[in-house]
Amino acid sequence: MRTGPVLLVEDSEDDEILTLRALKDARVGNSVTIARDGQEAIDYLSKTDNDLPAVVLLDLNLPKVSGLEVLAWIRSQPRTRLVPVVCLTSSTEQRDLLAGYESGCNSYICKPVEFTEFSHVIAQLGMYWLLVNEAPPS
Amino acid sequence: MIWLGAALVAVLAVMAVASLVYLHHQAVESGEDLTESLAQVVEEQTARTLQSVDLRLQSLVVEYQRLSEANQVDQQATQALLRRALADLPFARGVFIMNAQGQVVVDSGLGNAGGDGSDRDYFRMYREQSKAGLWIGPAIVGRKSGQPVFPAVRPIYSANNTFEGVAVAALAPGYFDRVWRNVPIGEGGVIALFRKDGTLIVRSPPLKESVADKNVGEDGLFKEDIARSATGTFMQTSAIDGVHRFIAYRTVTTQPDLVVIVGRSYEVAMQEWTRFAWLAVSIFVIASVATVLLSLSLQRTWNLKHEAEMQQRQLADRLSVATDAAAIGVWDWNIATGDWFATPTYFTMLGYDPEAGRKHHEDWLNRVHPDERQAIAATVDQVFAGQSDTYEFEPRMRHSDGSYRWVNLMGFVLGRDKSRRPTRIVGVKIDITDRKTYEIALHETNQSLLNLNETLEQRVQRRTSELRAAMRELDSFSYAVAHDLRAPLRGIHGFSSMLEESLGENVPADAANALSRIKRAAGRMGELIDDLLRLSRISRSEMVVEKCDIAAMARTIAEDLAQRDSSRRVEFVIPDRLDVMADRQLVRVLLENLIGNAWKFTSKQQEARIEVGEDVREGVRVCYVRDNGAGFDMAYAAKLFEPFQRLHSVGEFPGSGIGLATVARIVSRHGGRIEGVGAVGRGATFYFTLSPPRSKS
Repeated sequence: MRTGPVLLVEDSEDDEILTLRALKDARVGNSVTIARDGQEAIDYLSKTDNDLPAVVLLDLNLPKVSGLEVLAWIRSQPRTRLVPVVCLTSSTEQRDLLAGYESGCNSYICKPVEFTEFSHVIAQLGMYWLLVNEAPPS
Repeated sequence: MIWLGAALVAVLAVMAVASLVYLHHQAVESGEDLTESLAQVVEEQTARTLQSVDLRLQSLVVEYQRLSEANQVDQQATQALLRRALADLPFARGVFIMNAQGQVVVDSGLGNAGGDGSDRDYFRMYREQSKAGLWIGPAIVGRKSGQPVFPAVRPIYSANNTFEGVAVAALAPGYFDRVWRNVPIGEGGVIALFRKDGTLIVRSPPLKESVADKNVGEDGLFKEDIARSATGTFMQTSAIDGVHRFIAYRTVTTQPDLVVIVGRSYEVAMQEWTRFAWLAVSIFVIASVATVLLSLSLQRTWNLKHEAEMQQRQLADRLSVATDAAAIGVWDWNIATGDWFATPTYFTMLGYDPEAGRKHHEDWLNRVHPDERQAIAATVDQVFAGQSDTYEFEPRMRHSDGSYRWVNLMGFVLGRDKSRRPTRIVGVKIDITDRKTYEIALHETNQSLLNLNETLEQRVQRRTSELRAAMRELDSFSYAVAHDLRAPLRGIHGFSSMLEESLGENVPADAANALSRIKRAAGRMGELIDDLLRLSRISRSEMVVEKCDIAAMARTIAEDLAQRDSSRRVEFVIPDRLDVMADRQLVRVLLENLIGNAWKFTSKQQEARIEVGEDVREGVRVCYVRDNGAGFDMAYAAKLFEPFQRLHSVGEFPGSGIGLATVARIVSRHGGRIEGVGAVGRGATFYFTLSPPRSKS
């Protein structure tokens, strides 16, 4: 199990609750840090005191600083550039997908409407990024 | 012309024949006259000669009788007497005297003396008839001399009228021949002395021996003419030598029993005439031939001239018709002579009377529209100055009714004098109002078309930018739908699930039912949103048209479907290859939908069958997907392709009702057509094309 929190960047309170619930259901032990918008996410990641997240779950449709801008910032910072970022969004638009991957996301997940499916996806994410995937050397 | 020539020839012929006949008549007459004159000359000469013979024989007889009366008849004295007589008669060969017994008593030297001449015709005649006067006999051959002679005989009577013998002069025909040869009777002419009984005495030229004694007394000439009159003329072909002659006869005045005949060869006498006739005929022939040739040539010339005139007239007529029909006025100005001519159309096209117009033709420039007058006047001046040989304008000219007509004016200089001044100018004036009107209208139409084009282009540009804006809006709308509509749904579904979970076993049945329905509704709406997004994506995606084998695609889709639901047993009928020109992505979506539908609606069929292929419908090549499933009521065929339209309940066959709308959108993006044919319980067939219909023309 990778140490470090899961950074959830999500402006929707509903989605936040649902995501937390899903993570809990999936028995992810890592702490979860919430950022309500892009700026908060950047602020959090900027503080060297804070632990580097094990994975960033990034909504793309964010107020103030957009998800893609946050992603670009993460990839631009030497400290954060290797952090796995999963785009977690409602959009299945091709251009959003393309933009996500081009900006350097490691995974792109469309949030399903059905909660069972949603939970399933989140569980898989946790399993994959926190257990299966070998993290880059810090 | 040819008849005139023929008539001329005929007149010439008549004149020639008439003159020839007349001249022939004249020639015959003069031939007869001349012959008659010659006959007179010969007769006079012959008469004189014979008279001299008669007189000399008379005097001889007197002298002889004187001797015999004086009984001095001796040989010597009579010999001398005879010799004297012979000397006086140069044309006599000899002279002798016979006694009453026919004995030649004395002879001038012919050697007849002592011979018996009692058998001579003349002796017997005188002895028996006691005739007086001179008798001339036919030629005989002298008994001793053997020379031809003819006798001139005079009887001798005693005082008591007793016949005592005859005195004979043997005349030499050669003498007469020589004398007569000097008479100009011409070649083939003949002079002869005949007795009236037809006995020939002497002839010049002399006859051959064989016919010397020929008595022509049997001829009609001697029987009738000569017996009837003392003189006469006629024409006759000689029985002796076959020559045709003018004959003139004349009884010798001193010897009425003799007749002189002069014959002139008709041929020779008529030689002049014949020569003239030949000449005349020759001239006539030459003149006739010349006349005929001349008339032929004249006829030909006349024909050519006539033809040329006809052609010229026709050409002029044709030109006139053409120029009139084409409303072309032609004018011709001979500056050197001052003659000015124009066809009537020149005036009538502007409504002027040709007669009046001709008098004031110099006014033409004043009729030109003031805007164009200056330029034309300048150019005409240039033409007169020798700077240019032609001019052409298309000005407006004033019609007599006050309106202006468009005309084309052209002028050509046809000649110039030494100082380069034009001597002749011709030109045309053509009414081109119609053409000009069309041109102006065309120009205006063009202009308005150009304007319209410009407007259209602007409009297209505006529409395009509007369309782009609309697309952008649609885009952001779709984006908003994708994000913002799904998020609340997720909340509804998620929290319902959480509520369900929290309540656990304690949830009342109706509440559990409600929660489940909320979740289902949210899920369904999520699906609808996804479908809608897919539909809008199909409308917005870029198209790349290429060759696609839809048979291969159909096989892949069929395999996927079969794999997904292995419980189904469906027979697929797909050709080896079926190429269409289409966008690969879109056509795949299309097939997925159609084959997916077919799969879905045959789910209740025991022996399901799905067919993909091509056919020809109404002359157009179409592809189709056919199934033997539930089918549909054709009454609703029009609604098939509307989004969210469903002909079956969701319970019966699941689906969002967006599939055929998507298919229809794909077909329409290709410019093709789609049509559904089916019947309830009997399957459905979807025919589609993926290219715009070919225009019939």
